[in-house]
Amino acid sequence: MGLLEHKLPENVFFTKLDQLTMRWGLRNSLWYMLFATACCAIELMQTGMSRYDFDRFGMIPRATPRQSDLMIVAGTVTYKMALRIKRLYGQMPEPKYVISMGSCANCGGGFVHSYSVLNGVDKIIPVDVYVPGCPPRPEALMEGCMKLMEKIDQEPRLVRSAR
Amino acid sequence: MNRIEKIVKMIRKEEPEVLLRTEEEGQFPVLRVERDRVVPVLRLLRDDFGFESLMCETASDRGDRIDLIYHLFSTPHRETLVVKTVLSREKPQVETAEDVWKSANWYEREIFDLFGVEFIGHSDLVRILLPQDWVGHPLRKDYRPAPEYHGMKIEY
Repeated sequence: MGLLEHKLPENVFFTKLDQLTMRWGLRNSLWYMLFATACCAIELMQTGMSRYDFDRFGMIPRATPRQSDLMIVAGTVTYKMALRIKRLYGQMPEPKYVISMGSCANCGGGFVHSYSVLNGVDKIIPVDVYVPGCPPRPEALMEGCMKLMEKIDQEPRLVRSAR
Repeated sequence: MNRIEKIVKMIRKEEPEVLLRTEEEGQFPVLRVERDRVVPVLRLLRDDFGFESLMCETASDRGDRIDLIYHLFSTPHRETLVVKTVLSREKPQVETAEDVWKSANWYEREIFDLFGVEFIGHSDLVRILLPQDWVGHPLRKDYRPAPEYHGMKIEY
């Protein structure tokens, strides 16, 4: 390190990989899947639009799971949809994260006694952050995303073990 | 004589053997028709009385029977008419109204999905809302869901 250090300008610095926050790039460019299951989607769309501007966190919607880092499950998960969600989650490349948005995705919400609604998306896929509310305001969703970023910051290893 | 009485009189003239009954319940005049003649009566209502629109077709589980309910609307007369017919709960079958109003297609798929009514002559009688491999018809009063669906426990 010593030799190279003196040959480069002063704004270049050297460190070891595990001393740097490993997912610095990922946490600042969480591309979320353009996907929603119910009315929480309206708040999700609002969060993505100019007033709340998800883009300033580097979060842009991707229309395919294969380019997504984050799945925001926005809304009621029926048994019919649950199979699709499971498949979409499987199509996302690692590392991948899930935010459960709103009461329905958290625990079934108002449809908890329905024959057709899964009581919580965490029954089929692992969830990183739960955002409460019915629906959560964009501020709440952004708070959830920032919590996820904090979580990513604390992940120590470059390669996360598959879950 | 109001218009509903006129309609009943005309139908009696055209189809003398049909059992008809009018009811005064709820918002709209109700015409009860026997099951086997309901589609000819609907066609007559469309062609001769201007009910060119099927607003809604639905069913209701009354415990001992299933009521099939058609809401018809006539734009020129600004008029709504309800046609009801009774199906047996054990084997609910009726002729499709798809040939009278195309929009009946999806309504009847929904009724099949949720009540298990079989529409004879329907072009594509498969479930419309629930998954194709779902067991049972949820709007039946005695419906109990299966314990699980593809490994997911159904907590009902």
